[in-house]
Amino acid sequence: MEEVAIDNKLKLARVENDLTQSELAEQVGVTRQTIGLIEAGKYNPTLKLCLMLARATDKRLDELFWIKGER
Amino acid sequence: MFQEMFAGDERSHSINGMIAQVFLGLTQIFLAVIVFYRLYVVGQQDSEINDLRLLLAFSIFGYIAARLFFGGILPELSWKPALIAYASLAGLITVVCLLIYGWPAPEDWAITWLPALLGPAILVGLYALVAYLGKRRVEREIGE
Repeated sequence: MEEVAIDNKLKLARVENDLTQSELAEQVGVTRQTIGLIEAGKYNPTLKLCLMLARATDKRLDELFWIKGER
Repeated sequence: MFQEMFAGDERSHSINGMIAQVFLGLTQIFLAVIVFYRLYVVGQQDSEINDLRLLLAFSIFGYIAARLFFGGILPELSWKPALIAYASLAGLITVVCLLIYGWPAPEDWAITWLPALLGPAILVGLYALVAYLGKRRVEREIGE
């Protein structure tokens, strides 16, 4: 299977919502480090967490995450 | 606080799984090295290392069985591959034992030929059974 990288704009969406990493982490039930790693593109979250992050930042899933190079 | 420390999130679950797998593999390798060292370097008797061998077998076969059953990951065995696997295993064990211990006395069949021929059959049979049960479990989950 082809290796694909995931890109995201979680940091921008979080700042737009005036949330800190810790606040967002608490809302979706993960650690601050996990949010930091997702923002840095160093951890691929599960679909469940992606959906929770989209809900917490009031974005659609495809606005928040996409396959690198397809946008 | 303790729940946070030990429950973690999906990333820590994934890291925990990876670390556990690596250290399980290392532990099994070290156990195997210790078994061979005590058998062939120290020269201990078979009966003196039975505890370690039992632990190693439990760890390896328990791991394979759990992966088969809960993941449905390893392939199911049909008759032909099962027979090939049995013949290869029994042949390998027989040849290695004959090379090490020589041709066994006829009256010792219960501790020589029987385990060499029955052991692989039990292994292959258990593999096929657990693979079938694991696949059936996953198929049932998909059907729900």
